[in-house]
Amino acid sequence: MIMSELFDTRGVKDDAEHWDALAERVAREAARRSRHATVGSLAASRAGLIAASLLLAASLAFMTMTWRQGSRRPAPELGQALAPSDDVGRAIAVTGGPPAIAALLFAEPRRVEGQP
Amino acid sequence: MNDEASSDAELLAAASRGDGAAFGVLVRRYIRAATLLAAQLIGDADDAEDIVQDAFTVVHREARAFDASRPFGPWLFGIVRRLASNRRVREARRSRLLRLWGRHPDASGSSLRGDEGIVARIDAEAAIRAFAGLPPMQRACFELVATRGLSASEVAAMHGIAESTVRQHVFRARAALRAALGEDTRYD
Repeated sequence: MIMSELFDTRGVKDDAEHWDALAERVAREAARRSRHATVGSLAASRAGLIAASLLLAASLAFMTMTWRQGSRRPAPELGQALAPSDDVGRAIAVTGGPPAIAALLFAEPRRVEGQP
Repeated sequence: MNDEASSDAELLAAASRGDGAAFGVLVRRYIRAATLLAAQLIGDADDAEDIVQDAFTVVHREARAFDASRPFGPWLFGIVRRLASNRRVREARRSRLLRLWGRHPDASGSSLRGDEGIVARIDAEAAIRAFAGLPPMQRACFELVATRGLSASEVAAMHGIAESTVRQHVFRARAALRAALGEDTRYD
């Protein structure tokens, strides 16, 4: 691209101190504007908005799931206190699953007060 | 990294990783040529500095995308030329509007007028007239090479033309100025 009109440069100061000062200012300002533009374009672009929305949705979903799991599962102390007295019921209440069949077969029968 | 001895591509790569000192060295290396180019294209020193500021902002933002196998200078000067062209289009539109409204004092825009210190001397006046009478690219190349001390290769990169063309412009400008000032050019 060649412009049809070109001007002289007599208005431009041409000493080392001027260039040093200008370079320092330009470099600092360019870095600042560039960072600002990157953040701004991320916020303004459609892709940036979609990414932010997805991140927000994922965070909300994660928080909801952990909250639900926490409300479903009672504290271990409470589980022990409320567990039924028989082995099967206790195993289910405390460990969250049925006891092993072998444990049921070979376990000693629990004595109940008042019965032989 | 020794910033002063590093290549432009190394400095730019470091700048893209957040090395402010490397970017500062790169800016210092090119700011004079970039500003002189912008001043030639725009005609105003302050506007030229604004354009250079914008150009280096683009460079910093696009540093990661820069192809390190290509020279940095022509890329930077290309950005300067594009920004200057955009600004001139905007200015022309604005000045047309102001003229339509009858408020624009003068749209000629030449920075050659009003330099009292020089035009006080008759010889200098003649030189300025001769200088102003040169074709634009001859004048631009001659000024950068003869009065600003830039090399023909630098000027070629700045204006996006061949180095031989720059030399030719300078040669013709010198001959035209000597002829206009009444000097003998037979032995040039």
